Amino acid sequence: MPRITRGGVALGATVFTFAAILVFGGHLFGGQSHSSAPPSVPAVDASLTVSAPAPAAPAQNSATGSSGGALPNADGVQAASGDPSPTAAPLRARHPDSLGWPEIVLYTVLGLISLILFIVAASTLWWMLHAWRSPESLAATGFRRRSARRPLSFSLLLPARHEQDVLGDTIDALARLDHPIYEVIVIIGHDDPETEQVARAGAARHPRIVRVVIDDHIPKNKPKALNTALPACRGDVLGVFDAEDEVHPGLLRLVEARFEESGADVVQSGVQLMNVRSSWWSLRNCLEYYFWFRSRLHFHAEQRFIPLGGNTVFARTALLRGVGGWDRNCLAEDCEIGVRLSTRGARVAVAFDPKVVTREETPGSIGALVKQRTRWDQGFMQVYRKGEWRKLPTRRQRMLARYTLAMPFLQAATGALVPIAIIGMFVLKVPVPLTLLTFLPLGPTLVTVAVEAAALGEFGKEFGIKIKLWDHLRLVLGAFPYQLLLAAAALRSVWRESRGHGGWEKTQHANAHRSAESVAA
Amino acid sequence: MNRLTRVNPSIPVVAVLLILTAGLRLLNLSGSPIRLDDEGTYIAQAFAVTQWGELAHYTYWYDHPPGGWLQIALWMMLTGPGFGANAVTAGRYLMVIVAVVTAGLLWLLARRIGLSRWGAAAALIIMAVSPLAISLSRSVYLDNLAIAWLLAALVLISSPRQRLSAMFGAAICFGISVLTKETMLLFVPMVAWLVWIKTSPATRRYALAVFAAVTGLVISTYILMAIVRGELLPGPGHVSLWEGIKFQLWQREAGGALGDPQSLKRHTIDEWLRLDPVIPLVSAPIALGGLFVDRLRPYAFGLLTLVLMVVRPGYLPVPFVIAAIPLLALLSAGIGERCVGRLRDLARQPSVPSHVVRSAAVTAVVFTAALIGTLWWPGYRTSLLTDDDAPMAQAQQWVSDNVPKDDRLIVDDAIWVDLIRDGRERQNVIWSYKVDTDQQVQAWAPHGWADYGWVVSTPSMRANMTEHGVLNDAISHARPVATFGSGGSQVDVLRVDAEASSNAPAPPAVPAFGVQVAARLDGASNRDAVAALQSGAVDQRVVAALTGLSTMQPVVLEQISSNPDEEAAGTPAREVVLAGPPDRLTACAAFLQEQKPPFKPDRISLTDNALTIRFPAQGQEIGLGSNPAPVTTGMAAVRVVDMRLGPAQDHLEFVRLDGGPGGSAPSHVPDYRAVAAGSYMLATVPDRGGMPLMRQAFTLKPGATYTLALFSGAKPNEVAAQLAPDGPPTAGSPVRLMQAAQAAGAVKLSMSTAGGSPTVLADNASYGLITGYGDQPAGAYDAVITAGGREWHRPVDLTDGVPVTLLLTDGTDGPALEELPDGAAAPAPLDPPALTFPVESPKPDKARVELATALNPQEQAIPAAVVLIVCVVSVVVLLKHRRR
Repeated sequence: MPRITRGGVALGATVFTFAAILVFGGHLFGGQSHSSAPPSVPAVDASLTVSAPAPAAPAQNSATGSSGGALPNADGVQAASGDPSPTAAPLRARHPDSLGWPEIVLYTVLGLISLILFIVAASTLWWMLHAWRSPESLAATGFRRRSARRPLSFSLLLPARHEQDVLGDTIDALARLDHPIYEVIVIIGHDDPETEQVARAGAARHPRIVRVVIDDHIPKNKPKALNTALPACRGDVLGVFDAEDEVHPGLLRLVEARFEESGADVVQSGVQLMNVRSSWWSLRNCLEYYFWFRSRLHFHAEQRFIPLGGNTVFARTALLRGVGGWDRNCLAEDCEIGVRLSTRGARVAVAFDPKVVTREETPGSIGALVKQRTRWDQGFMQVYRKGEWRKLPTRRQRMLARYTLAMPFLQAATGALVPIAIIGMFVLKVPVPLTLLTFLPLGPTLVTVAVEAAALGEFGKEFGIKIKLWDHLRLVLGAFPYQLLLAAAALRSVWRESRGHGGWEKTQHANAHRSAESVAA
Repeated sequence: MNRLTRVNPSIPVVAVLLILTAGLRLLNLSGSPIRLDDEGTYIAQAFAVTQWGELAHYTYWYDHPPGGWLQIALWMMLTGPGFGANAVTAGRYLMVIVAVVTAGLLWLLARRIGLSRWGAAAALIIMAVSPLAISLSRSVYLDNLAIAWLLAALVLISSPRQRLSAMFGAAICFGISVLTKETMLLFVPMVAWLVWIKTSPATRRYALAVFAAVTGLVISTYILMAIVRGELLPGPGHVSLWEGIKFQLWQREAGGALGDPQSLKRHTIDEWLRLDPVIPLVSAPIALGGLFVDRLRPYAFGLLTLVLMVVRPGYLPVPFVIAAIPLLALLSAGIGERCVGRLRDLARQPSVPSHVVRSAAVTAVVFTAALIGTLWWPGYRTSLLTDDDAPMAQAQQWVSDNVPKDDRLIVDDAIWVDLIRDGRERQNVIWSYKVDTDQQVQAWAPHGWADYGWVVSTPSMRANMTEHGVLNDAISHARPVATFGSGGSQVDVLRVDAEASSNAPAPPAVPAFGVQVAARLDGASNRDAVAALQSGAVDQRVVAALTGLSTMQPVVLEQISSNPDEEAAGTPAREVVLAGPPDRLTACAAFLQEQKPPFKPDRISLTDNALTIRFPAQGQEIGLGSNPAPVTTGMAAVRVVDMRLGPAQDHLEFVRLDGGPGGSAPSHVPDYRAVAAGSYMLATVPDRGGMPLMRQAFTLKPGATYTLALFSGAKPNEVAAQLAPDGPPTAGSPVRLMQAAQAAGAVKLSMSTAGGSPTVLADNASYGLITGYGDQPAGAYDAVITAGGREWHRPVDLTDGVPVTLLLTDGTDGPALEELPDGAAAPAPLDPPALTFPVESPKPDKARVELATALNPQEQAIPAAVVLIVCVVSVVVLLKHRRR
């Protein structure tokens, strides 16, 4: 006797309900009406017009017609049986007028825009799902739990700026990592004595592991800080962390093993935002990170073109020195170094394990989020304009690079299209098939929302957060406003980039300040 | 083949089975079953998509989602208009391809479920050779397309590597399958179950999300379409999705109980059993058996759902069983394989001798196969050998040969597209179902049944007839002109006749008239043909035409041919073949070509030594059908009153049927002329020369006087003549009315003496009316003519003892009223006869040119472009392959 589970009961109940609906459906619904005739179909088709019956024909040729008065019917009249053809004149279809040039152009443009948007949305969706495309590929995205045979030495860079509140804990956490040979290099600006004090204290607590390097550059930004520390690194592998990061103690062992088994030059491990409930958009921001590190980056690694993440990224020190370190003028130095390493044919391995991800927080406010996004988008544009990606070996990679780096433009364009689309909804009159075509991009978008809802459940399970119905609701409701936010940031970045075209140095100056702030955030 | 076998050992087996599937369906493809209304509807809707960019050939009312016929439309665009014997057959070729694809998918599914090659092959064989499957899967049913999509979805769901992309594909396929035929929604539980068990727990969450979202999105395009068209909810003046769904779910006539032998549902099931007594009966046991095999359980559940649908009270469509066949094949093969496996295990046990088990198994298999084969045999005869569609095809050919392009037809949808492609306007070819259900169609026919000329009545049309309505009226006012086939597959072409109140066909010429004309024919005429002419089974127009022709020149009658299908419907012979020297035949052809209806032949074909003339199928009374035996002695008097609209510069020729002395008379002088009693054919001859036009025949009795009233016919240049006997001189003052005033419309005529009360002589009298005599006291009257709200006064003076015809014509100031005293004192004889061919007769066309369907160059370009693309792609692929 098999044990009956709750699931089994539920399944049985569903099956019975279904069967009952089938069996009694006829009774329940059919009893009302026994009409077999289909509903009468009103005429709405304007292309077929009904002409009045021809009036020219005499209505009556009948010899035996009644006079309608005192005169009797005629008797014995010999006549032909009259014209038996039907009285209605043959109708001719009026064919719809052919399209004029403006309409053709308009329809073509509309169709093209929908197709492009569809392709963008569909490819984004597909890459977003890359890790789950089969159970095997999902298994391949994690770390192998096997230690390396030959240990590597690590230099962990920790740039910090005005972050005296969180830095101490981070230094202590990094100093407790489970690995025999590694060092932590804290990079502090020369104009930031409070942070320096915290860093020095940390170095004092862990003298064999932690060192402090002072960055004298003016103005300051993250790539310059990293470049300052690069010559001082002694490890085989260099890792980058941020001051607020919460790093898993076993991470270095796993990364080391990953380096060995994949033979890669760069290993990117996962980063995850954790504060799901702090605001309406933080949930979406967290999921964005989740999909990016859980799935999308694996795709880029496989394609051998990757915009790297800003932290928990490890690279062989010699390779970094060989390419001259980070681009000091780039707003998205992480992306830039990834692209540059990709063009040099560097192998990148990405590994994600919910247990060892580096945990972070979302920006503190919508303003900070928009600023952060603006910086990233502008950074992507800078990388695009720099043109390093043109050196990628295959056409496929170059296409992917062009597409990935131009994404902010596309996003901005989509944002700009939104008001136009809303106006068009009321003004334009287009044929039904084209109207349906314009809904095409909505398809992948809605599937994306469904997939996000599925991922939210998994996210909650993996990180031990209880996801409520309200969270799902927030996810769905927030989808459109959040996209608007991103589109606004993209527009802002395009605007800034175009404004700063002539005065590059000046813009950089302003941005560097901001970017330092937003890194700090 | 060896190389292919190395690639995949299944290839030869599958190839053979697919060829078997295709072969059995291609055999007698167009002959069985008879083209059904449904098939024609889907084809016509696809045609509307390709031709007019509309979703249906009438207002689309959300009866089914349009996915199915959009696919058929694609096929139509690819194959072009000339593919297949007719439009439905062209669609059936697509169905054969779909059947092959379905078989291939079933193989994949069986293999993915874990059946052995033999098991999978058994499933394919069952589906390939069942007569029910053969018959239904080659009919143009949406279910065939839908089930192919469903199987594709199932194959993808069972992806062995559990790919997410396969789930995307499966969801799209399942969505399309529902959009193709909404009954596929019944499989939602089965599909959901399969999606659940076929996905790995690690990725299930995403697979489910993707599957549900994509399926939902694909299906919701239907709703979206309704919203975009503004037809989601019911409203005035438009159809709506809601009403369509309501009709399909709740308002369809329930099929009745399964146990009731008279019920519609029982009829449907009997139809299935007639083709295949095995499959419908074993489906329930097979489905229940399948529940006990692990890997078959979801499919068994799916089949059980269908069985429940059949059992429950409610509407049951004929193609419903199509969805069950692949599942049934799969389940029987799976269960069979399981049984064979058990038997093998048993045979391995030492206690049972293996040869006993083996021979028992062989016996059982052979017995079952023989039994099923025997049961299927009659089904094969029907589906593979009988040409059930012949009556339909003949009727279609007849219509295209005989029915004028401008005539209105009510037809079965099965031939709708073919008639439209034949060059008819879509408003002139009406699908019978829409006559009473579509307001647009009703608006095209404001006079109801009288606006239709023909009905092509097919078995499915008769089966779906309603008791009331325009279609019913049209059929009850129609008479068969041609009949094709007999029994259940009989197809009738009916002529709707506005005049005929009964179903009696137009009478043939009375034999006596035939005898008169036969006597005048050339001695070289064919004896059989002459005998046929005198038999009384010849159309009146043939007799009249032979009269006219033999007056002008010797006529050699070669043949009078009648169509057996028309003969069966009681239609008189309407085709004659004349022989003679070419110049004579040419003159005859020219004469006939110029004639006006009803004497205008619809086919004149001229060769060097034969002229074939055929008159249109709509037989008409022209004066030779019913009159008494012809008289040959005595004199009569005739007066011609020309009341035609517009100036008519012609004179009349009276041509005696028996060749006796006729004569001519001017048409514009209303004087009595003496004419020998007898039967005449009346012709008009233009004064300035030109072709004489036959108008009508009539018979004059000796001693009688007549007024020959000429009215204009319904069409320009047609004449409607009426020969009215004049009243004898009696006491009192009899008066009659001839109404020839057209401008004012229907008129009212009343007369009053000074101070007396008015007598209404006629009311609502319109052009062309001749009344009988009514007695009026002699005296002076004031005639009041009322029409269109206006009134005219005309003086009338009636003399005692003289019958008077009041002639109402269009005058310069309102209707004019003329008094014509009836009765002739000493009529002058007719002028000498002068019926000849004009000196300069126009040359007739060498033969009637058959108008081919004008091929749309665009439609031709699409198949060509597709072929080109396929070629280019295959070359590119080949080159790439080589390079590797």
